[in-house]
Amino acid sequence: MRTDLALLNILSNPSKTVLSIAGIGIAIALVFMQLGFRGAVEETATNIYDKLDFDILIRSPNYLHFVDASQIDLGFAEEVAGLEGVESVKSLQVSIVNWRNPLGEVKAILLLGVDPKNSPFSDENVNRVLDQLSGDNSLLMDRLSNPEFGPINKKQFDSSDIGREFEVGSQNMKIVGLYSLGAGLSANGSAIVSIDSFLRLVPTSSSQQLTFGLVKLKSPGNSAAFADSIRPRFERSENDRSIEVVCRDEVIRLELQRWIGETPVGFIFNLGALIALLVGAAIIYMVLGNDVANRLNEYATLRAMGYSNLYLASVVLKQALYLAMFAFAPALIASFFLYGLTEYFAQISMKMNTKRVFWVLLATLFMCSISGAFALKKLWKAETADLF
Amino acid sequence: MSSGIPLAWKNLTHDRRKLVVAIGGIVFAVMLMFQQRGFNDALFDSTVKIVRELNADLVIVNPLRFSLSSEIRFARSAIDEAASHLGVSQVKPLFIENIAARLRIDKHRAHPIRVIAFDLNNEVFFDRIGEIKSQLARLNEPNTAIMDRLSMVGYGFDLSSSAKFPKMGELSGRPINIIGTFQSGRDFAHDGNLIMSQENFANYFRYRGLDPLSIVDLGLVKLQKDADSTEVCKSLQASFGKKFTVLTRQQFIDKEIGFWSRSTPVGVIFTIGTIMGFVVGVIICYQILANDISEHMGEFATLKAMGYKNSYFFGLVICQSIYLAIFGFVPGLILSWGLFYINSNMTGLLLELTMPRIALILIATLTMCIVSGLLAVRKLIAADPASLF
Repeated sequence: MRTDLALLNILSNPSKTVLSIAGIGIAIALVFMQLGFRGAVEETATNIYDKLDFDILIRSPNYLHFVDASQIDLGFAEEVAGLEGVESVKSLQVSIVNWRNPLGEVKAILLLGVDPKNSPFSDENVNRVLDQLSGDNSLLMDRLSNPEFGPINKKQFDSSDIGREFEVGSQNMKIVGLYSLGAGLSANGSAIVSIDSFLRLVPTSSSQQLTFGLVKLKSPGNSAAFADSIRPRFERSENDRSIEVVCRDEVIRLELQRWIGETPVGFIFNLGALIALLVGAAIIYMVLGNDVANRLNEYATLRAMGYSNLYLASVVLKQALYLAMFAFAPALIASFFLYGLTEYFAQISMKMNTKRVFWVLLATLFMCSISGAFALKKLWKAETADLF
Repeated sequence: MSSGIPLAWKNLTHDRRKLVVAIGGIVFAVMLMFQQRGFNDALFDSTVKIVRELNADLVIVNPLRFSLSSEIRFARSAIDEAASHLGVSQVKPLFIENIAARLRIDKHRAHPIRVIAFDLNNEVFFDRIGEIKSQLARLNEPNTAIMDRLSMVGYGFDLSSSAKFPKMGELSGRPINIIGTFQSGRDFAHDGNLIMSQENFANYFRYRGLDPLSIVDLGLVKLQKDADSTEVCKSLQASFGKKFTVLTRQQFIDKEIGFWSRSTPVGVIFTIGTIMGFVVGVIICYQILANDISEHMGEFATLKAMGYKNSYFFGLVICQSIYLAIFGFVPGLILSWGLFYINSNMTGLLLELTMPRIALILIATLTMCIVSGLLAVRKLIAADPASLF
C-alpha cells in the first residue's frame, strides 16, 4: 500500500491533531512526573550509601535504616579485617544529634564520624575536605543541608560560614570546611566530624563500638559469594546473629524496601502513574473513536472496494501508534524541563533514567494499542450497505 | 436560551455512546485531581490525626518542641500552674515516647513505636465509638497496652478483625501484653501507636528520670463551660511568659501541619500533579466541545443566518460545558470514593472525602470545563455564516 492512510488521516486536520497530541503528551509527562517523584524518594533513601565506598557492609542485626542502625562491637570489625580476601575495613559512626541554630532553636542533624586518614567515602568532593578535620572542635558542614540550621545567607551554607561556631550535641563546634552530600529522608542536614569528636558529641557512643564497618575486598567481583561464606561465622542460628553481613546490592535493595515498599510512597506514585496512563488512553480512544465515526462512510467504501478488515484495522491501530509516538518525544522533552523546574523550586532530586524512559515508552505503546483496539469496535459496526 | 429548546442538552445527549466516551476522559481527569489532593491531604492529616482525637480546648507544649515527633518535654509544674488559672476546668498531662519505645515480637526486629500514656481516669480522647473506653479497665493491669490497627505490618502483629488477643511482645526490652486495638494511623514520623496507662508508662521508660511522670509531653487543657478559648489561651500564655507555649487545639494542628509542609516537598509534588490533571481535563473537554461545534457547523451557520445572536451561542456552549463537568464529576467522585477506600486499606493512610474537598474539586472541574468552553466557542463566534456554505 503506497499511501500511508493512517498518517494522512492524522495530518488531514492539523490543529485537531496537535491538540490531541498535546493532551496525550501531558498525560505521558504526568506519568514521567509521578515516576520522577518516586525516583526522588528512592534516591534520597539510598543516597548516602551511594557515596560510601564498600563491597560488603557489616552492621548490627537490629539495623532498621541508615539513621537507626544500632551498634556493633569493634572486635567484629577487627575479626573481619583479618580474614583472607579482605583488603580493609573502615569505620563509620552515625547518629542524630541536636544542633542549635543562631535563633536558639534546636534542630536534628545527621552526624557522621570518620577517621580522616581512612575515609569511607567514595565521593571526591567529600574526601578533599576531610583533612581540614584537625583539632578537637572542627566540623565539616553539608552544603545541601536545610537553611533551618542557620547559614549566614539564610539559604545555603557556603564559604562565608567557615569559621562559625555552633552548639552541637552540647559542645561548641567550628565549621572548617564544606562538602555536598544530602542527608536523605531521615534528617534535614548532615555534618562530618572525626571519630574522637563523635565520641564526645554522642554520649551513648563508645570507642569499642561502631555503627558500620565498610569492607573492601581484594577481589570485589564476587562480594556476594564472599559475604555468604563469612556469614556463618557470625551466626549461632538464623535469628541469633552478632553482626549482619550484607553485600552492596542487598544493602540498597533492603533500604529501598524499607522506604518504598513498607511505606505508602511507592503505592501512591505508582497509582498516580497508572491513572495518568488511563487518562492518556481515554484521550486516544476519544480521538480515534471520533475519527473513525467521522470517516465511517470512507471506511465503508474501502470495505466495499474489497479492502480487508485487517487492512482497516491496521490503519486505525497505526493511527493510534502515530499519535502516541508524536506525543512521546515532546512529552519526554517537557518532562526534562519539568524535572529541572521541580528540582529548582522544590529542592528534590529529579533525575531521568533510561530504564524509566523505556518502560514509559512500552506502557505508552501498550496503552495506545488497547485504545486503538477499542476504537476498532466502532469500525466493525460499519456494515457496508447500512451506511448508504 | 430563549428559544425554548434545550439545545445544549439535546446536542450532548443525542448520541449516548459518544457522550459516554467523551465523559470517560473527564472522569479520569477528575479522578486524577481527587487522587492527588487526596494523598496530599491524607499525608498531612495523618500527622495530626491523633491531635484531632484529643479532648482538649488548649494545648500546653515546650516552646522548643518544633513538632509532635520531637521529644522535647516540660516540667509537670506547668500542669499544676495552669490548672488553677481562670477559666480552666482541668489540665491533663499526656506522655509520649517514640525513639526509646521499641516494640518487638518473635523473630521480627525491634522497631520504634509511638507510645501514648495518660491517667486512665482522665478522658483524654474523644473516643466517639467508645473503643478505648471499653478497654480502660484492662489497661489498669500491669504491662498492658492497646495497639493501633493501622500500625505498620512490619511489626509482625496480626491486627485484623479476626485476630486473637492478648498478644505477647517486648517493649524496650520488657514483656508487654497487647490486649486489644484502636484506630488512629501512621504518619511521616511514626510507624505505629500504642496506648497505655501512665503507671505502665513510668515502668517502661524509667530513663525519663527518677519520677518518669514528672516530665510531660503535652498538657491538655479543658476549659469551663462558658470560657472563651482564645481569651483564656492569651491570658494563660501571658502568665507563662516564655517558659511554655499555649495554643488552641486548632493552632496546634496548624503549627504541626505547617512544620511538615515546610519540611517535606509533599505539597509541591501533589500540587504539580493536580495542575497537570487540570490541564489535561481542559484539553479533553475542549476536544469534545470543539468537535461538537465543527460537526454541527452547518447547523450553527444556519442558526446564525436566522438571526441568533452570539450571546445565544455563548450561553449554549457554556451550558454544554457545565453539563459535561457534572456528567464527568459525579462518576469521577464515586470512583474516587471507591479508590480512596481501597487505598486506605492498602496504605494505612486515612483518605477522606470531606465536603470542602469535594467542593474544591467540583469548582476545579467546572472551571476546567468552562475555560475549555470559552476557548471552543471562539470558533463559533468568529464563523461567518456565508462562508460556511
